[in-house]
Amino acid sequence: MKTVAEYEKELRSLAMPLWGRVLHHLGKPVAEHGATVREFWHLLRAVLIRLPRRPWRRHEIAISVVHIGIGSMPIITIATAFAGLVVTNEIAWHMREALGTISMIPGFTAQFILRELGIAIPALLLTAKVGASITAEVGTMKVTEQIDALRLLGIDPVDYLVFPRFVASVFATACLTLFAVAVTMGCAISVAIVRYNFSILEYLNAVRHFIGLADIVCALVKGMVFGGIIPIISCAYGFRCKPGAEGVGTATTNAVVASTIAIILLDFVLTYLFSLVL
Amino acid sequence: MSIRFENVTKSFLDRKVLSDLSFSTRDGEILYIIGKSGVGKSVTLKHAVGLIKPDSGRIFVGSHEVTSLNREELMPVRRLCGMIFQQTALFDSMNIFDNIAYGLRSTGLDSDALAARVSEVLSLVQLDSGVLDKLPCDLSFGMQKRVSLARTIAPSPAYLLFDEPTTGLDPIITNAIGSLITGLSRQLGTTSIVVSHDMESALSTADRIMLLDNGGIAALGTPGEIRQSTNPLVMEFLAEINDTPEAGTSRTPCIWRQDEQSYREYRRAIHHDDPLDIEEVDK
Repeated sequence: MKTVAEYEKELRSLAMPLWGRVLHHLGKPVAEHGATVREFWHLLRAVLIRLPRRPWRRHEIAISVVHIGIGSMPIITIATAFAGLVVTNEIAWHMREALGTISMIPGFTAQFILRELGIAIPALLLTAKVGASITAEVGTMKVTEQIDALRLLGIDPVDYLVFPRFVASVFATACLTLFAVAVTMGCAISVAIVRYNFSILEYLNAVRHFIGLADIVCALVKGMVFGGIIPIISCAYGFRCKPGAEGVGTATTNAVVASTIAIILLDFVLTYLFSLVL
Repeated sequence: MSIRFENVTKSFLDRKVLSDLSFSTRDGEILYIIGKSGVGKSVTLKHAVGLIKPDSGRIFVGSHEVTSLNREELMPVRRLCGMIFQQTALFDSMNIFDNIAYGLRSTGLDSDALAARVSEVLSLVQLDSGVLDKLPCDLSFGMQKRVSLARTIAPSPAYLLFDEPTTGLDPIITNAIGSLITGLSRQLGTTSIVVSHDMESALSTADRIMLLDNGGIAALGTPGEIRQSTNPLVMEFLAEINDTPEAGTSRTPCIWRQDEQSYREYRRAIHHDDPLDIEEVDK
């Protein structure tokens, strides 16, 4: 008969070393995320190959455009309107402190909105709203075997679930980016007029010297890239969702986190690339 | 036209679920796969349609070797197979009409022919057309199972695969679904594989029964042969359905509890003892 001390000694000898335990705990999530990254690339490739082919699933795309685009307009309007109010005040304060003048408010504000604020805010809001809903929907379909049922009806899940959402999201995010820029600019102009005594013509004339068509094209390209990766990342996590309510919840959380990080990283990469080109 | 498994082995992580599994269905038969939870019944079924790839071995659906086909090549083979899923797997964003019609749209049927086919399969599963506009969540689980069956048979598959078709259903609906499986399989001339742990349904419905255990076949035979089997696992399953009503676990006694006279006759015939008081049993 072994004593408790002998058992403990035996257990200690069987236990993994510290580095082994660290690798064990790190390994599983790394492997899982690695598998999701592979799923992401697979989906991206499948969708890009599918793009030139017909039929284009116009009905599903239209439904997704309404869901992503129209459905997100209220939240984007509120968020970007307040962002516009804040940014004018912030820039005015910094200019007054650093330069002793506020004459450059229109140009700086417009550049900041068109290059960053008006693009990043809608993308991050869409990640939380649309990305989460896509992962939850696809994850639930996976858990309830609806995706298997699609396959057995001879329907490719990528074609049915990912492709329409990808096309709709790219289109809707590009439109929402322009819409968000317009709302943010509108609010920024309002603050400039009301608080800093600019006239609207004076403001727009100043803006004209700072931004051009290239800035608008950059904003659109960024918006489309962000709009493209949100459904792909969300579907990748949905397709790899584990069974049960907890599985769907975890997949949704992971998808939102991964999409947010991806948008911030891509924002940096695209900004850097545009700064080289423009 | 058969489904054939040849030495199929499958493991999930370090757990071997199927081990050198080999069997073949006969043309037009209803094969029941019975086994305890977690022995790989559903995994076997999903292998047949390429939803899971085996670690080794070969699977044939008719003349197609499923294991050697890629995603695109599997599509036409999958269209030959209709599968009823354990949780019905109805598309919850579509109404019942669209659920049933969805698999038919790619066949090029016009809208009239589509509507006619949907009505036809709906009547085959004994549902009326009043459900067509409803969403799956508006229907009971038993009705959802029937809709799932209708969706599966709509494209006229050559093989019908049922994954626990009666799980979660009350005994009356279970019997009705069992009758539907038999009726449809005979009527449509399909080869059917039914995964279940309900030995009672298997004995009354199947042409052959295959009992899975430890990744392999523990017993395979006609219902008559299974009844005569001395295999301990088979006897365990048979004992479940011959269980006395006191245990409260078997389905038949639950029905009989509703009818005191029948129950007393059952006790006299089977157990040759004095009829028990129903009140006492229910306690």
